[in-house]
Amino acid sequence: MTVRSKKLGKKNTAVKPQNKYNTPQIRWRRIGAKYIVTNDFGRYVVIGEKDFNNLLANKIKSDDKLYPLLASNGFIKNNMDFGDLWSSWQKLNSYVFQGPSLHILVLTLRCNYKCVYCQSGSMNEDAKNMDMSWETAKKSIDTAFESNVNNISVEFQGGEPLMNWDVMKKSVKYIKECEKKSGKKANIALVSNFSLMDQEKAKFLMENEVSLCTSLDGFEKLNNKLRVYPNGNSYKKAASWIKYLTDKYNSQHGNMFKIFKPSALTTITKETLPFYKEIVDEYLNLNLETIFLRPLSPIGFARKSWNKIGYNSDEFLKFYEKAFDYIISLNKKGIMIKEKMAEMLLKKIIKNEDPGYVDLRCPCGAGIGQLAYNYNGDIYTCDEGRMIGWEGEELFKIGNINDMTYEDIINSDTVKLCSLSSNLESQVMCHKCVYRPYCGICPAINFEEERSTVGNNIISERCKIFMGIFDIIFKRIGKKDCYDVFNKWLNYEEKTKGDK
Amino acid sequence: MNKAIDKDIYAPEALEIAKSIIDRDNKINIIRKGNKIFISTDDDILFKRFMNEALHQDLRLSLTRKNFNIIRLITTKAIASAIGKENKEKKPTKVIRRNNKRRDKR
Ligand code: SF4
Repeated sequence: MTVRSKKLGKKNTAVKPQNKYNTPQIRWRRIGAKYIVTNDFGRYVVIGEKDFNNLLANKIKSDDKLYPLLASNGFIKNNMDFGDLWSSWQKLNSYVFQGPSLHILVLTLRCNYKCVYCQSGSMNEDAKNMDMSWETAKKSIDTAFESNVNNISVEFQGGEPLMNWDVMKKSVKYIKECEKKSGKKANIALVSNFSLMDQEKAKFLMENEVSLCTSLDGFEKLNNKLRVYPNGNSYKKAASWIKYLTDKYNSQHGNMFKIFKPSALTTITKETLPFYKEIVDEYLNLNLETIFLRPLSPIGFARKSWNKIGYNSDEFLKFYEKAFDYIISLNKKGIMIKEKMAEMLLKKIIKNEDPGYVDLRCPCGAGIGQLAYNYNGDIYTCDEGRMIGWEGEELFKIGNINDMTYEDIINSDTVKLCSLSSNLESQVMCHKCVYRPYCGICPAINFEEERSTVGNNIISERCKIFMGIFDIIFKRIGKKDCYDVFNKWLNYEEKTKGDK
Repeated sequence: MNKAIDKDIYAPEALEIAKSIIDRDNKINIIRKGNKIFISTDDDILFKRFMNEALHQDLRLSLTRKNFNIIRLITTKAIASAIGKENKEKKPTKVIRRNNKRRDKR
């Protein structure tokens, strides 16, 4: 038996058995007394040491208790259902067969907040030359609809996008027209701090089926410290509109249009780490059923103030594990609240489906999964790339909407660079990592951390965080009560989707 | 400090890439003398970081060569699908390799 790359650690290894034996290529990792074993098709098993040794030694016989599980998941070489396994791979990697589905329109760089971690390069309220013009918005939407995919998502971002309301309103109407003309479906989303929201705007957005998302970093004191609103109380603004929109969502029966439940994004800073329980409780107070415990990316302003607001992977993972266990304990009591990151990873692991998370793909979603259109028409591979551009490094800029066709954009050097840099088969750690079928790297974060789009996962904090989150999930996936909660999350999503 | 490098361990290309990543202030010189390569720098810590990165790049390059077929297949498929005109793509991999090399050296 050939064990590759022994030098890089025994815990996380890929094996190429000799041909006459019965085990195809597998990857594994030991966590405590259990072994997680995965294969290229995205199938996994969690087994004990004795079974694992038997699997490696090809001692699993057809009358063995474990045999059906291993065979049906592609771990027995002479009993592989390739039709089933290939369709599994296709489902898990469905993004490889289509064009970019996420199109981010940065309607303005102006913002009336001064968040301590602001990653989006926002400008003050008077900088009206930082607004996207209607012509640019229209061209961006036309490009989005050229994308080789039937369902696109158009996300309005900023700065604070409501500061450019007229262009936003026109854009929403235009997207609806394009939907009819093209036969494609567009999900429209607005990411806003809600400070400029009023009933008229809310009515327009609801009637046009725009899903609304805001930022909420926890309870009032914490939120207001991190999300600084010089003219008011950022918590009250977010909370009151979340309540208003949730009421509308709950009482929508008989409407001609679908009202989406509002959602919120959390940004975890150093300040947040002790409050894992309080943050989850705050989300529950506001009847939010999903909380997204995203680690802070060392990009833009956040990178500059990393000493004040940042943390290392160990600190984040301690926080995440405590919050995750608290969330699971609430679910076991019948209270529905999902952690978004885990939900997306579980969709990959349990269902072998692509959750549409562009940050965790091979190749990554830059250009081929998403495009970001800046206020001035500059096109970037992603919003992270745009933020890096704002600091003066234009590595992720593809060009300008006025000079390029859709085909030029995808066929650009920039998109090819990101696709190649993020291929896990050329990553020293990833190609043999047990989590490779579900993971992905980010050329933009690599560039910010290490000045190389390829990065070095041996020292990457992002890799440590994802490996840690996968470990936390896999430690619990074998326990029946946790598995039941995970399954409930995955099936719950389907129910609400089919709701319309 | 002037250290000779074992060419059997570190490919010259790996040394160049490592320099472009690690040595922003141009404190390291890669000197070729006949069949030998020397690394010259006064910064001991930078030298150690450089040698680590060179090893990583060397591993990565040999891995990329080994897995090139699958990398080419996935990347080409992803880009061609995104364009939506798969059959019109003409030898995209050649372009991809050249571009990657150029950008990698930034
Ligand atoms: S980035 Fe993901 S696949 Fe690569 S080594 Fe880290 S956890 Fe594994």
